[in-house]
Amino acid sequence: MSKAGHGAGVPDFKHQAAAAVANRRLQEIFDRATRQKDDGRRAILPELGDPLAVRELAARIKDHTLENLDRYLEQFVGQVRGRGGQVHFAADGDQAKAVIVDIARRASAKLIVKSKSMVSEEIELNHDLEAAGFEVLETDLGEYILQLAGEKPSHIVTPVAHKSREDVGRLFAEKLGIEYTSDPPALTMVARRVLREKFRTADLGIIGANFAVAETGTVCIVTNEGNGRYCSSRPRVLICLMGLEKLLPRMADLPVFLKLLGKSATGQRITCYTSLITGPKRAGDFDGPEEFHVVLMDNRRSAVLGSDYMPTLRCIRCGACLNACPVYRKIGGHAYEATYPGPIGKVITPLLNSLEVYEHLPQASSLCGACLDACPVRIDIPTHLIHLRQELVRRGRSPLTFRLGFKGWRLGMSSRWLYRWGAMQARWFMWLISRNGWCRWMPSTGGVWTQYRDLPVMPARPFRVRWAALQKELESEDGGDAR
Amino acid sequence: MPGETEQAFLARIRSALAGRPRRTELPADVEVARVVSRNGDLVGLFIERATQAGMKVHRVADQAAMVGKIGELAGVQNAASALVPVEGVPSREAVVAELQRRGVRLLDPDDRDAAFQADIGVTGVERAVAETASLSLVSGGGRRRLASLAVPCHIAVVLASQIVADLIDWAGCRPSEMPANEVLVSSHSKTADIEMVLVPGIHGPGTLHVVLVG
Repeated sequence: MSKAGHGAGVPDFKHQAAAAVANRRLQEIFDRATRQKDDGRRAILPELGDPLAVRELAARIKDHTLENLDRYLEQFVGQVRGRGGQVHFAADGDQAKAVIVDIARRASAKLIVKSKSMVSEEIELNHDLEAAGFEVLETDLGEYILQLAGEKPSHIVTPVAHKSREDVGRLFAEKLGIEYTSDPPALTMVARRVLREKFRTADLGIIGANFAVAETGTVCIVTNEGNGRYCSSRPRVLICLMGLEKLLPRMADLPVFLKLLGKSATGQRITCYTSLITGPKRAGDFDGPEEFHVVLMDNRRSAVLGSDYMPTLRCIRCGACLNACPVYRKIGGHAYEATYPGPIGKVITPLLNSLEVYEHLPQASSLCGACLDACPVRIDIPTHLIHLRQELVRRGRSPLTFRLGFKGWRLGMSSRWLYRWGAMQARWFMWLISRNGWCRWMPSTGGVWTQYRDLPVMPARPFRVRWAALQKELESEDGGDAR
Repeated sequence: MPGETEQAFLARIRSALAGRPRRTELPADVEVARVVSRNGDLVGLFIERATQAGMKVHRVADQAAMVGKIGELAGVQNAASALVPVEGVPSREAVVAELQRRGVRLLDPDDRDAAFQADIGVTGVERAVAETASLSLVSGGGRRRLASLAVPCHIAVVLASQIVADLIDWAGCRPSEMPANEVLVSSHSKTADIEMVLVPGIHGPGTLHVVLVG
């Protein structure tokens, strides 16, 4: 994913985040949207009986697949070809886009309908298709709204989580020439009318993949709207663009993930439509694509494959960690300036791009662990974030004062007397710069910290002293008896 | 062709995995994820969950009653036209006759745009899953992929004997050859993209009737 699409230059995370927090309407919309999905997830997961066991099973199936990915990829490729499909390989996003433009040209396509796909957002596919002269339409309602607005998704499942009904009403009035309305059902039906005609006349469909089954050469996509079904059923040519990590070994593994995906994403027992596509239409079939292409894309995933961050490739893009994250809930999706926002985005964006460019992301977390609790495939996001922070320190990407501070901290923590002396100094210092018991300003690196947080002054009697006193008091109350 | 060769692509994966311990044994305890036992009241559970998912379930005793029910539903929907694919619908001839008797125009299934014009689409199912109230529809032959999608109202015929307990059973009891397309329909089409307000019928049918036989 190139940086260009997210605004030029170095990401300005702090200002973007501050602006989002100051935007009250955005706060309301985001709070409602994320809580509704998070509550829905919590309410329905117990239906699985032992949800933790199912999530751990899903993690084990994914780990097994990734550890043997070369074999499963070979099997998958063979099965797709065996059913008349064509498989293409792309080392990066540019190659994937070139492959897709080439297929579209050979097919003499004019109108392309696309089902929602985060991997196509990752490589900014639409830009290249439009530059090559094709008409491309996003058909998921949220993605369609974004395409009209020229914006990026703010959530990986509900991409227009940041837009109010009034925003959409104004946009439709301006771009589609309809009379202004802010009624969601009315706006939805406007989109239905426009896109229905596009579905009917499109000659190329592009889909992503939620899962792919090696055993049968099947790709699986889920949508609530039905747009994925249209894209994969109506046009003469179908392209599935997928990251190489989407594989599952067998059909028998798929139910485990279908059970988890809908529940984790939106609190649904299962998504409305689950499509399984196995090759182009068969001899004697009335409908279905005549050509079926799978574009397998790496785009730095193979670099993650052998690394300590391999478990991040388990991700099924359900968005549960976004909905659960206290940081994401406050700042929304756009402040991250990354295709994949929220907790999982903080880990995979630096891995799939550059840690230096995205060095703000691993820091944008309180490490509270809500993401790990929510993750259906048990990705230990907090630990991965700590490892990325360590990597940043190793690469010298932290200020000198920061490093000196931690050196001093380590020294102080290594001896009881140094610790006591340091604590006493700190208490005096905080008392000097505080007002009404709170430090709202600190010099040097400390100032970066207090820019967004207040720190209470350390109490005059430290816990160590109070604890000793309390123990003594209790002992005297008990008359010295053990119990 | 643009892109890279299969060899180069796979070589990168192999070198990434080289020297790593591999657990070659596939996790075999998929049953951990089972929610519904095979021995329960599957029809009852299917009806309960289908209703929760917004489907309108009509249980009838036999195929003759099913035919009458479909005619009745066409009336309720004020359907002027219908698409009934030539394959996959139980008692198709009787269904077609009943709809015609009620003055519903039967669209030519061989017209590629029929599904875009029909008021109702009638299909059978390959299987149904009690756990998620999912209807499995497959492509092929005289079936029509869009008959359950482009119509505003989909009427699906489910035989009680087609209901399996759990998604695990759905995945397990399939022919060795996958159809080119299979879809699990687990509700009507819907979206909540604008401010989480649930709106039915965004692209696919906003109404889904299930006529359950037996």
